[in-house]
Amino acid sequence: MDVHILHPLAGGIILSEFLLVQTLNGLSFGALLFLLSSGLSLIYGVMKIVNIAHGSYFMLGAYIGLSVMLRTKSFILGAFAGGLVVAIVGMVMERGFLRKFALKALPQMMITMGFALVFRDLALLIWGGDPYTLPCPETLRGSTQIFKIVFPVYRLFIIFVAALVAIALWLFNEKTLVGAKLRATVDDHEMAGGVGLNVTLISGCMFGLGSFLAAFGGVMGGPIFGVYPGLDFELLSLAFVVVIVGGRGSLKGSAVGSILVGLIDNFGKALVPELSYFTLFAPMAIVVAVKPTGLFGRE
Amino acid sequence: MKHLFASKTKIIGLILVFLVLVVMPPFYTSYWVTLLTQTLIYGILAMSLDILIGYTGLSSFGHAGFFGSSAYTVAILSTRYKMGFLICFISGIAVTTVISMIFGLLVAHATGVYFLIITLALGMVLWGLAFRWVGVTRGDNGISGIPRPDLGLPISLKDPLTYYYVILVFFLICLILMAIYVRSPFGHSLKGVRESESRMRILGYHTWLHKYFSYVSAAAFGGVAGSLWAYFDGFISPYNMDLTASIEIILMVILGGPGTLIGPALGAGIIIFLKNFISAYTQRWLLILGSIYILTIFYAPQGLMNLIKDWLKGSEKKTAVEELG
Amino acid sequence: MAAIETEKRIDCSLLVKDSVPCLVLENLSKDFGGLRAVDEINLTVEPRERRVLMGPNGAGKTTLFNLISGVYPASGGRILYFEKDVTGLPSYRRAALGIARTYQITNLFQNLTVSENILMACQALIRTKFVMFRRLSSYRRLTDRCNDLLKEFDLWEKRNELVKNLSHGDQRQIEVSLALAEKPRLLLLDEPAAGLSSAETYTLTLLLKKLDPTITILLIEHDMDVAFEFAEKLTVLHQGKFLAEGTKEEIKNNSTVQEIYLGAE
Repeated sequence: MDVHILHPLAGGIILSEFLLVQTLNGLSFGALLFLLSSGLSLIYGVMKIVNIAHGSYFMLGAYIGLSVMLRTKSFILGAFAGGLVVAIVGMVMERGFLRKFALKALPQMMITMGFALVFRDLALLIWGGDPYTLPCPETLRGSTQIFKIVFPVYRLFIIFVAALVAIALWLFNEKTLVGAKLRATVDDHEMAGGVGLNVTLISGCMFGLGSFLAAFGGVMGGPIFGVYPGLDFELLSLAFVVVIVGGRGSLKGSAVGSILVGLIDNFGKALVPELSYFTLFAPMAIVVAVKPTGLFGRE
Repeated sequence: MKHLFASKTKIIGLILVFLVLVVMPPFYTSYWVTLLTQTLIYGILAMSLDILIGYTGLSSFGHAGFFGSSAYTVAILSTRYKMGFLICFISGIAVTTVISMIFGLLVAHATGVYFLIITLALGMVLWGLAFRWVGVTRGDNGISGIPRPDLGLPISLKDPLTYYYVILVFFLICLILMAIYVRSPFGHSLKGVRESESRMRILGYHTWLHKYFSYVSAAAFGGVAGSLWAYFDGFISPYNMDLTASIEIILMVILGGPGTLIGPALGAGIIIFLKNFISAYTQRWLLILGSIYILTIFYAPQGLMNLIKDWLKGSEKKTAVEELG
Repeated sequence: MAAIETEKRIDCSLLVKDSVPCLVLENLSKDFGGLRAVDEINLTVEPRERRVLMGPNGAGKTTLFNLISGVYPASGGRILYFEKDVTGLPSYRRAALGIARTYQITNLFQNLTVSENILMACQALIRTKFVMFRRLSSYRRLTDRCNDLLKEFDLWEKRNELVKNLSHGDQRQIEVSLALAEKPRLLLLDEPAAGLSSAETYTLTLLLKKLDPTITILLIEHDMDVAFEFAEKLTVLHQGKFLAEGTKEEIKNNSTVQEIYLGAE
């Protein structure tokens, strides 16, 4: 049964179609948020610090991807270049600066904050202040028919990629030896070191992986959301909301939180655009009131 | 006798400050007067954040949100509804305080990293309102044309020098109020929460309450700064209250020395002056600010004020040793 | 000292009577995920008693203290304090009722002076702690009480030193003085002699002997000499469970206890 509704902004539309489109939109945004927040979670899990420069990685990844794409015309190259360069930047940041304050959370976070400002300005310097939209890969342009609606292929692609990454991360965490070593390090640094695990190497690698995921997400999101100075902190805040809602240090929490925040943000933009950032306040308040550590939080 | 050296330095310092801030301003150009006015307003803001960071040990990353909410209230009431100074000023602080009372409920149970995360998110929620609620806040364009208040004084407040002295009075009042506050029994309890919240609970303190009050009081004072700023600048935009703005205030506190009140005010002065000078030559202010941050953490994590205090104590001991020898 | 008693306390420890047990633990348990740290402990401590809690590392002694003082919520069982069920009360409410504790790992306000530490304890249970617009130093009764405590614990000379700059022995002194500042009715001492030299331990033992006899004291002590010196009655725990209870002689001659200690060491 089709329900016709009159929406103040969209005029007359069919409810089921509206819901489907917005849900898919929300899921595609949630997919990007997952790439961003899973990286944040990984870093937090191993080092117990919140990387304020994490949104900056997302932004830098998009910018670098853009430059590489414009030169090589290859989306895949751009995506991996963006991811790898930022991963290296992240690991340099960790090794050169953060490691000096190992186990001291606050100074480390302050340093990441300083770097966030540095990255923002470097981006301004290199790419200027105008917003860009990344070119969409040829094969993924256009739209396709799903049930009764027409929906961009690329957005579906993003959801697909994020799902793949989620499965890969889960397998890595649960099923591999490296994943077990990681979990051991996360649970207890001293014990892990005592058992012979190279804690600094693992921390470094996890930081690199987290940075890669964020930057990769940035490139993925580029064709739809574009890149501009300011993206770094806007998305960082959203990633934080995901952490608050989903729980810290939990992959499941990242996934569920990203989906929720993506959906709420998107429906918010569609229904009450003037209050759209504010609509995130409600889920935060509810989760904090009911389960302060987040839906799947472990502490 | 040992204390005399430190006291002499303190007295000289106070006299210098008195000269620079009270006696000399009529001789400065309006550029310097404006800069000093900015410093005093941000000084109040930095001191208010010091209550949270320096005294209670809670890193709040959304404090600019309170600055902005108060400034926007003043802006909207004065430009759209043509309300007078007293109503606007009090409303600004009231709105900020109410917001902080609601946010405080979410935040007071948190500590450490989690406190950081949630205050950051809440600060950006407020920014989002300013940015997107275009009907009320004019969004990205901000609200301009906030008139200088008419307090019925013989000299108009449009004169930078007059407004400066008014702000100086507000600054001194806030400084005195906050100084008493942090030396009070309640202020003492905040230091305890900073040092060991677990011990405080065992001793009998309902630490949630103390953190809540600390958060709300910091927001209220931040609101004072915001109201004063709206009238000073005549203009407010979302950029005054985004994450970068919050980060700038944190750096003022850290650079100046958390837990000293005067230190953050000093830090505010340094950052404001630096920002103005550097921006005259290059666009790269954020790069420099970020680098200052990193350098401060590496080389002076306790901040300038604490460095000065330690230096004074060191001189005290030297004088004492000299006297013995 | 009576002056502090008449100041408005947030909660009154009017429940204190000599006719009922000071502390009763009924089938008290604590689980951490899959680990049962404390398993159905039953314990009764009479008022004015000096009881020692013993057991090898991991026996659950500190966990028990954390349960009694409200740091951990109990997974099962009840805690009765002068017949009042305090099982659900948060720590700060229990402090107001007169329960105080010290920590095995020193937990002081490191960046504050000794005076400031003691003042923090002195003002903890009175309404003055909420005053925001009057200087703390103007409250004569508080500062007097603080000074008395400083002198009593031989800390007067060091009163303006930052705690983090003091020796371990001094810090252990401050630990005990903080707990006693609020005139508790039940005092939980968690290995007060931890890390002390034999001279310092001797001073501590003298201090413990001089404590107000009306206070009920529960002491965790690893050092058998200090334990036997102090205790009238001892309770031995092992792996979270109750093992044995009795006088010095009974415990000394208890073969299971000897086995556990010799085996553990």
